[in-house]
Amino acid sequence: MSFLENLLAGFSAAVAGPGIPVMIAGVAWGTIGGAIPGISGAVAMSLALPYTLSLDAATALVMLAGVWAGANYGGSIPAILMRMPGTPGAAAALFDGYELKRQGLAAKALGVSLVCGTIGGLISVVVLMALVVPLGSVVLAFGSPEVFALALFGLTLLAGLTERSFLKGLASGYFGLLLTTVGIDTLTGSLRFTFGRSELLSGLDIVSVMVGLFAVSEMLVQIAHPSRREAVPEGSAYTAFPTLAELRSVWRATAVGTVVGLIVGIMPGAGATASSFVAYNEARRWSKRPDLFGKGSMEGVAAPETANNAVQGGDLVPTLALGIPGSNSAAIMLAALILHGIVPGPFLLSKHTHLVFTLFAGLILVNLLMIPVGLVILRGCLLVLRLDRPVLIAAILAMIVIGTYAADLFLLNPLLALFFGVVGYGMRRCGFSPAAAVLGLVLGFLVESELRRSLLISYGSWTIFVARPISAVLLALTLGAVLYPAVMYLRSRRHTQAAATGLS
Amino acid sequence: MKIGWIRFVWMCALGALLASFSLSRPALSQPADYPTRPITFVVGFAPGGGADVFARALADALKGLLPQPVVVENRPGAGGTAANAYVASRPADGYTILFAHAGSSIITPLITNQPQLKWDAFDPLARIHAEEEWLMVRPDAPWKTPEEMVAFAKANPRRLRVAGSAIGGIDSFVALSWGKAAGIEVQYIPHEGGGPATLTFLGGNAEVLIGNVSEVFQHIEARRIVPFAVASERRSSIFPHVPTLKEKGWDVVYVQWRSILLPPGVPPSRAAVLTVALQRALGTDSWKRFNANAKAIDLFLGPADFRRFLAEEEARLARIIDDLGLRRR
Repeated sequence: MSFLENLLAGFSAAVAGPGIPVMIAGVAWGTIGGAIPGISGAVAMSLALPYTLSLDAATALVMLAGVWAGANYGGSIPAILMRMPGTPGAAAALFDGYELKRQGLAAKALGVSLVCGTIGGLISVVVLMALVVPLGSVVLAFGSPEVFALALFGLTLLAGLTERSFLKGLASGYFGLLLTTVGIDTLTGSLRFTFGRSELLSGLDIVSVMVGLFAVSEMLVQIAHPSRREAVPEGSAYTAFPTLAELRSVWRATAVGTVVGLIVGIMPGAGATASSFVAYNEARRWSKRPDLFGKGSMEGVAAPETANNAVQGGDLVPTLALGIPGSNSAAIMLAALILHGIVPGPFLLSKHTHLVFTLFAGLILVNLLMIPVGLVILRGCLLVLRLDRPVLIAAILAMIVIGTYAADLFLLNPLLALFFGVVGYGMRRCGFSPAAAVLGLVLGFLVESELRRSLLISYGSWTIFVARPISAVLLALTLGAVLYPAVMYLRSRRHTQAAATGLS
Repeated sequence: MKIGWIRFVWMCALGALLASFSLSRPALSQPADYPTRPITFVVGFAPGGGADVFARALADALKGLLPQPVVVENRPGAGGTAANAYVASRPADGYTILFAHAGSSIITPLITNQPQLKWDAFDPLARIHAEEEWLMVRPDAPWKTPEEMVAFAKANPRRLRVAGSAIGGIDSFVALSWGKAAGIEVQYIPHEGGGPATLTFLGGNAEVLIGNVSEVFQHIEARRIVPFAVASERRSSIFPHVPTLKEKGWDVVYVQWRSILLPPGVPPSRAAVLTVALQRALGTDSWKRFNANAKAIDLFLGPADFRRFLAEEEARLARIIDDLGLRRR
């Protein structure tokens, strides 16, 4: 059968029987789960997994794909509305998303996130279909040194997240990096800063810390400064769907987000979270209005949200080409196959062609279904904007405590969220950057473990990072990203000096 | 008179009914006594992981062998020991059973010094099956036999790179015990799991891969990965031509066993009902199919033997944990 025939057969299998309602249920649950802090995409999928056992293998896969896509979007809803990332991957979208909300543009930001996310998801599925067979083994070119170099490149965003004092921003970033050293060390097996608590074996719960630094600290700011005004949206501000002109204004960021999401998705270990931060940083670099970033730029929402949806296709490349899951979410797709008696591996595509093409078709359909389902849920969530501030603050704090507790049933996690809320408030009062700390937090694990693993692979030689072309290029880009602003700054200073002398 | 006769017939019928109840009672009561409601199978790992997939396959195989279903409940966290703490607090009535493997019931409790979460704080019920530990190489490897590989490693200390899961996992114990037994120093490269280790290995960044063959079986069939030796007591039925480390003179025997523990104090009669059902489950088609797909071997042990096995396993693992200096003081 040709590619097109396979795909058409896939579409008819995906919509057959309970297909469409199951997909809608999957997307809806994913969106809602993603919006609850503590329930990330992989957790939402694993909670849905037992319910897919009664379905046939193809329908189960398509439903899980729906949960996956939905959760990628859902995370941005509380990020934009409440400065509370529902999933780690949505954290980068709140920098500008929450600013837009304060300007009364929450609905637009949510709409841009939804539509751009869908575009990213769709393109990534198409690329996946086109590339997975011929280029599957390209994954193997990305080893530990490359992932380390990528994480380092992501850290250059630190410069962009600091507002006043660069030194304080750097310190905040290091604080975040240090937080990731908590837990059992994979490379030596030793316990670090676990204080005898087994809840800390797998490290600080990233979502709890993130929600504390961003959302709880924001609630504290609002309580401490009740006079701070926000624009109240009215009338037309509730229409969420972005206009064509608005979409055209973010096309650059969407393109950047798609490319970054695909590449980072293919890399083993680096996932949606890393991709959204890298995409945010790159979108600013390529933007015509970089000055708007951090002050309510639609591009700042579009880029990370496109990227974390585009990761889906990239993640599935090693999963389908080699039978090795590219992320926790992809691992749950494989588990669903195993539970249905299908052994995943490099021959999945040739032995179960029909199933794989049903998955491709399902991925396209769920990404399309995301728009109507997302719009319905989004409209419901916008009601939040009409709540009185005291009610809203109480409700958000309650949601944070319940959400962070529900994920693992550890009492420690809500306590962490509240504790880091106070820490975040203190940091903001003293001019430190909680956002930079979160950046360190999400990339710290990759930076440390991939660096040490690379050095094990190279028998301790640091030349491995420059001897391998991909990591060398990424490191060169990192160096450029660090040096370019400094050079520009010096040049502009000379310029103004020259101008000053010219005037006098 | 007529009414009296009808009454007599009714009385007889009632009597017969009562008699049939009382007669059939011993036959009915034995299974009706336990289990009368679903049994919860608590797994300390998220849905989709190896432990969860195992538990669901076993629950499926038990369908019809017990009058009530077995329902899997995931309580992930703290290396599987969050579930241990939860089950320890459940009533010992046989309605809560706990998934256990070496990591969750021995290694993590030992490393974190939490004896209240270790296997002997529970009643061992049964060891079910195991995945074997394999040493694998790429087809272009310059060594034909494990001896040649060891000779290379002896001549080039720390040059033989071995990819596997995290330090403290069974993979790392195989690598380090083998290194010790063979008198070589290998460069062990730990990963977050078997998948990432396989990517490092396939990408040419390590010479040897240690782990199970279930994830890479198709790569073996495609001759992209070659099983080189197995760390089992005797040769595996999966690749009978592959030698064991033991027959080469290195006493390195590890398998990744999976098992079930009970909260302490479950009545022996109830444990017996479960043991019998588990033993029969291993004969079902659904279980055999699962085991074949998982490249696992049945290694059933009943409560008494399993307790003895666990005591030996703990002593053995404690030694290597101390060698590595992993224990929390």
